[in-house]
Amino acid sequence: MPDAFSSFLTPWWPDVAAFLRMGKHGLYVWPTLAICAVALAGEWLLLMQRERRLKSSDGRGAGENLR
Amino acid sequence: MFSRLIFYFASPMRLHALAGRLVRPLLWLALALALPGLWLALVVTPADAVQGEGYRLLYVHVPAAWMSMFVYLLMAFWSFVGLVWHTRASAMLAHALAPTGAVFALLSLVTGAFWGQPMWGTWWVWDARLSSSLLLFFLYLGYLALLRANEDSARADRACAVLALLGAVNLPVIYFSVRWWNTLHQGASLSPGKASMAPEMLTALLLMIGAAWAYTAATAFKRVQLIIAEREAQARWLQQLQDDLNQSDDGGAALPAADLEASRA
Repeated sequence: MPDAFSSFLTPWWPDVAAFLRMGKHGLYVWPTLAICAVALAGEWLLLMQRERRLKSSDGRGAGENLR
Repeated sequence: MFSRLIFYFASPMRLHALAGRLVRPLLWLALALALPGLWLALVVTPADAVQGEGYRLLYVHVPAAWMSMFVYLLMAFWSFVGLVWHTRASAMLAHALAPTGAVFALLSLVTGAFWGQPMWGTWWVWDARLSSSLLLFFLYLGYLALLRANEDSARADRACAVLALLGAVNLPVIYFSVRWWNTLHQGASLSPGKASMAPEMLTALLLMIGAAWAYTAATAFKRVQLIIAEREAQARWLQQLQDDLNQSDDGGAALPAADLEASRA
């Protein structure tokens, strides 16, 4: 069991440069991860913007007379 | 049981309250799954014997591709429910899912291209899997364009629902394309009952897929809250909720008011 646990903490790379290089595939792996992170974070930024717009307009003009 | 749940949350007020409760826990769940998933994917799992280190793109490409299809399936389902039973919340849920599905469809294409270049020597090829995935992305764009083009929300709901249902025909084509035709794209890494990968790779992949699910659910619930707030601006329950939010510095304190309204309904 301790062996199995330590294997989850042991990196496959000998040094950080090798980790970043990923053989010759680092040029493809890292930009892809960055694009995914930016896309998902961007989606939430747009959602937050939409929420702020909604709050600032209060969204209740039509309902004012009904109250 | 399931149909009772659907009709219970067909009320925008109940759906709004449910979404408000679920967004944060789902976001935390996505993070809790993504962090160990990325750790296993990038740090622990060894290189693939054939594809080298570049295979690690699998951990983002597969979840993105799966979510692009599952989200469309969910959209088609809610569209069907909305068309048949005229439940307003169904259309809102489908609209809330569409942008996230479009993001995942685009990510599926982009991550696939970044995988294709080192493995196949090309960013793009017009084979069945890639072409049908591109069609799925265009279906999402068409859905969103149709939604924006219609001023009348009821008309937009119907038009989008019909497009979602028609476009669902493309889903089995995407899934079975690697079996039906001779494609450059490799076969499925995961299929019911079997996985063609080492256990630690499978664990990493399942964690990333779980994170993508939780992210999608959180994002869709957040968006459906906004859609409800935009469409139901005149509703008293929503105005009461906004008053509660304005009076309280702590947004969480307003939730019981929503629950109270829901229990009154």
